[in-house]
Amino acid sequence: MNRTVTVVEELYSKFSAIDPDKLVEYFTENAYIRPVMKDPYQGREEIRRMFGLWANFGNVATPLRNIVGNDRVVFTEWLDESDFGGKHYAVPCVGVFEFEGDKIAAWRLYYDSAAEVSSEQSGLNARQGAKN
Amino acid sequence: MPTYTDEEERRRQIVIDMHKAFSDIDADALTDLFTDDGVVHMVMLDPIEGRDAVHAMMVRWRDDYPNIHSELLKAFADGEVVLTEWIDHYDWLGKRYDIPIMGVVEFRGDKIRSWRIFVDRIMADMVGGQYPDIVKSAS
Repeated sequence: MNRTVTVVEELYSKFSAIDPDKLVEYFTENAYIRPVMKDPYQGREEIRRMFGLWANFGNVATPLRNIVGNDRVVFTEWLDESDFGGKHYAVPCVGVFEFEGDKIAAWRLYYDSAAEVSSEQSGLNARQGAKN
Repeated sequence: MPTYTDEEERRRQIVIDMHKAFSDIDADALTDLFTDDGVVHMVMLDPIEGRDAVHAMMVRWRDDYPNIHSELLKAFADGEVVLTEWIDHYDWLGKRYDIPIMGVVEFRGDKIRSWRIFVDRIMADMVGGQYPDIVKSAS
């Protein structure tokens, strides 16, 4: 198994008890996380802030359904389960991780944003508009 | 690159060829890639199930997106699953769209059993909500 796949599996194993300071260590200084169709979280400080928002969700579980990759790129499919505002959410997601060495340089997440907690509730950033 | 078995490489190539075929859609040929009970599931909508429904969807894509180009960025195979990331480039009502998408293709043998397509509902909003009509025409 590629080292990159092991790193991503390790990252997912930590989402049930989010520690932003520890999670950000998996990323390069200039890394970005981008939920598709939204603005990216660029750089470690923004990524730490994003994980801080994620830490507000309860009973988080992220069981991996598929994971495959090479020494530079890893693809994942998982179910993103959490509680927020008295509701339970279960959002099917897929993602692409791009590596620089042993660190994650990019993570793009794909899912239907209508199925997640609204940005207004969670504080997670707003959608981008259509490209003209 | 991961080391693929012959079966994994063949399935991966089927998916690569499928994306190329979207530039000039042959609905019959694309439908033949699927099992008779094949499913196409854009995750924000109800799944499209069965040969007739998949064929109707391909016809709709052919008729509505004459200038589509499906730019496959990467495809990984693992057993009977192929994961993909691509960008759909197309024109719709005078606007150009470049939509990033991921997919999970599950095979049964050399036929596609299911294709989960991860697009955001904002995409359906942008293109006038035509995707719910696809479901109606396929049902």
